[in-house]
Amino acid sequence: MPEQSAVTVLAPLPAGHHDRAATALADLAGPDRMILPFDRLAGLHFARLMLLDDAVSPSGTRVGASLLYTADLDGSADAHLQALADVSGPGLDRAFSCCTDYPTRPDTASRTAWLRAHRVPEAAFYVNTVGRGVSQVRAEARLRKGLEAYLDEHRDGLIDLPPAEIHAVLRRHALTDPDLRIGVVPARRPPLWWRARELVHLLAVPAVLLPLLPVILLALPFVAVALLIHELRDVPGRQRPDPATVERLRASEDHVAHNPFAAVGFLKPGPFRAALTRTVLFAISYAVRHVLNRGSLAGVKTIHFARWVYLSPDRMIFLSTYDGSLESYMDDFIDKVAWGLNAIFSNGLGYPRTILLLWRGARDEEQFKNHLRTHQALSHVWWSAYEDLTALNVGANAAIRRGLARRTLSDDEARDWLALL
Amino acid sequence: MAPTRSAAPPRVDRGARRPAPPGAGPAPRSGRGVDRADVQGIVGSGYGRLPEALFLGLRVDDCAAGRAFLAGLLRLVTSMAADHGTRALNVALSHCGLAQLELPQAALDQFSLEFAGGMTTPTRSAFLGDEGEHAPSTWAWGGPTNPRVDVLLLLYAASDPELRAHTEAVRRLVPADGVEEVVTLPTTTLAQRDHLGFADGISQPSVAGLHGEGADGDVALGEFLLGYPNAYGTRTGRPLLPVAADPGQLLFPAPDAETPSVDLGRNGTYLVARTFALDVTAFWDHAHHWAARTGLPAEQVAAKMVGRWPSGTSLTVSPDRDDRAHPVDNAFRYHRDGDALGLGCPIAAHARRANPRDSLDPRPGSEASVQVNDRHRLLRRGRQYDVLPCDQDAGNGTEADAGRGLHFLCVNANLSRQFEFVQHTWLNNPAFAGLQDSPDPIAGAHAPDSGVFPLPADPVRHRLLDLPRFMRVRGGGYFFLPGVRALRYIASGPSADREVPR
Repeated sequence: MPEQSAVTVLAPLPAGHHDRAATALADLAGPDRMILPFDRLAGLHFARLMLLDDAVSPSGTRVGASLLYTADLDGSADAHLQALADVSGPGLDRAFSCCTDYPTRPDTASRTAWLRAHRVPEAAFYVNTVGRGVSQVRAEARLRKGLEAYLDEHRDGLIDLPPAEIHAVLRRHALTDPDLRIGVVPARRPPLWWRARELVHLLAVPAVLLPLLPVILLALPFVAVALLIHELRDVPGRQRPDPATVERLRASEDHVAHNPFAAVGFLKPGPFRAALTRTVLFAISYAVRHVLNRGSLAGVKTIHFARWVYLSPDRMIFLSTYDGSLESYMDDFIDKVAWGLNAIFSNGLGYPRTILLLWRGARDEEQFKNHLRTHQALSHVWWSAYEDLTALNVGANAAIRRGLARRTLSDDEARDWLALL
Repeated sequence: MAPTRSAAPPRVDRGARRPAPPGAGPAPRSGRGVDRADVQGIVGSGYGRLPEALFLGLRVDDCAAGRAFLAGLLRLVTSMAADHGTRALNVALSHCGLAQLELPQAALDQFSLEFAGGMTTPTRSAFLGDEGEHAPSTWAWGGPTNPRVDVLLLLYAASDPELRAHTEAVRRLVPADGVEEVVTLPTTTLAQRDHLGFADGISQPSVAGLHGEGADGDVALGEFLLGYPNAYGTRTGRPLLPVAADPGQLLFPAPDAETPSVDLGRNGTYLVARTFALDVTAFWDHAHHWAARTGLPAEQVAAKMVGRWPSGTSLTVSPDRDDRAHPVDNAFRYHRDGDALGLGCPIAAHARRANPRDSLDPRPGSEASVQVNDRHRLLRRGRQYDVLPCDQDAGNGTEADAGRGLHFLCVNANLSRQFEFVQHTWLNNPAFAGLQDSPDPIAGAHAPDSGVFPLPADPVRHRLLDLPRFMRVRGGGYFFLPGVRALRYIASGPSADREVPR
């Protein structure tokens, strides 16, 4: 099944075990990498393990440290946890054995059960392109490489042919090469039942909300006034990130084509912000499921996966895998989707001041960047199934395959298609 | 890189300036627009009319000697308002240098993290691609094994004898103890073409309030000078000091501070210095090799990598030949002018990645795209060199090339969003604009003989494989280029009630 799922496992860490867990994760990212063999898990795009430091909530309560495992994968989350427990028992034991209720004599069944028991739901989950699985991504990357190599070798013999004929030659070549043969058939579409379910959801949500529309419209001015009052009272954080912390985060960034990002923070206190956050997340969840599921998150085309998770009712984490540097990621946010960021992140404590939820906020460049860096959490262990590929690369490779999979192209179509190579 | 055409001196309002030495007397408490007498001249121009230049690096071991040296230099410092003699001098300071001069810690802490950390922290080296034989540990200057450069002096003159006299005058001011000249970087006489044979420095941003009156399409002043609204309409972070720290009223008030403050950053900016050895022979060998393979003229292959014809003519404007009669065009755009696919100027070409104009999201070809592009611009002020005296390890280039290269200098107010972004996200990034495995063919960091250069053609592209590295990083550093008043403030120490020698 090529549909993507998210797994989030959250396990509280007993007091005093922070350093032990940190050492375990550092080992799992370094010398003991082999005992967490993520490459043996079919359909896994990205996985990470992180240690969330303890914190003090705005109301003064202490929140203990915890361990977080997340994965972006094809197929069912349950099956993934089972497979994970199956191939990486020692790795899981290493990471989680300091958690109080972790099985004392772990086996595959008890590990799986433990992981399942600690799953927490995602409030929203963004997938760059729904339905495109790991094996497809990899096969299409091979396809592109193969076609490029063929063109390097045979260019002189091809350029005098009409573009449509060049397409036909490449198609015939792909058929002869077992590595490239997959490219002559189109990628499988999601199954009918799945598409039907999505369609029902697409229609059902507005259908349910429609009768409430008059109420919503009547309430809107009151909500806006309440929001403005809240925004006036907000205290934007003025904190600059600590240079040593930034250095530690930077050391883990920019080694491959994409980076893991994580930001943790408390929500602004009070029922108004709590309700607003839930509403915005509901809207995001609907939008990314039905509209923003084809390679672009409201104009940002560098995000592979993203999710929002409640760590507790007043504390959230945002996780994503994005292409390029954090600076370029933040610039993309500000330049292309500042309103969207404001809508959700302005409910977090210390966010730069917004006006009516959507305006200012992230446009206050420096404060916004400082806010993200000060709330960023280190992704101690991180794994990617296709380190060299950006989301745009993956999309371009898929387009190459779509073109090759068509039996014939017109000269104009073939010319456009050849420009992809 | 080296300023040529674009380096013409900007319009300067000379009339209203008082005759007092630059930066003397209390700072005006209000006033709109740029005080050109307070901005160092290198921000406004590359001194195109002064073809000779020499850059000196000095180490400050004694605070009092360092301050006395700076105070002595003040009367020689060239501001934008005074950019008309036969000599020019500009002064930049590293973060270490500012600490040596005992600028208060509170002020040091408010500079940008990039500047405070310096160019050679391990994570920054990795980010910029300064690894392997480009690593700071191998550098000729500015690296951890080289003498520390606290002060960088940029000297310019109209002729060689003039430069020698100028240098002599500056060196006479260096105290016998406590300040030492540790790096000497000569440059070649400013020429129309760079070492590769190409006109360079053509595309420079036009800055609102610096080069004109804020015409539509100009880049915001705050992108290149601290203390002014930047491309987002806010003022980039910089050291603000309590009013009490400036009893001499040397500094401008800070309009955006929460408590009454003076602005140490105003009219200052950051200066990036990078020294690149250039293997000219390897570049042309590569061009000839692929000319033979592709059937294109070598000059065209080279031009495709550079992104312009040798004369400076745009490949988008004139795709097939170098049109020397054509005026050098800098108003073109890639998408709007029909070169979206790079059939004229390849997407991977150096000039196109250093300034993609309207090539990138959102909506390539639109004004919105240009607007986003303009948040990543640099004022380039570099000069070329024939010899790098401090280089003990110049052996990378072929024999004829040993020692040739470029002292790349650029000015920007936000190192992270401007210089570092351009180097990392546009030049080094093998996936720039959707490319795969294609770093910048000239200035990109990549493993030697890896990386491809796709050369779009109809109907089937060429690909230049096994890209060598033609440039080797030989030195560099991040510097603060203070306003003239701020320089006077630094020279006089935080309790600026002492009389500063003039």
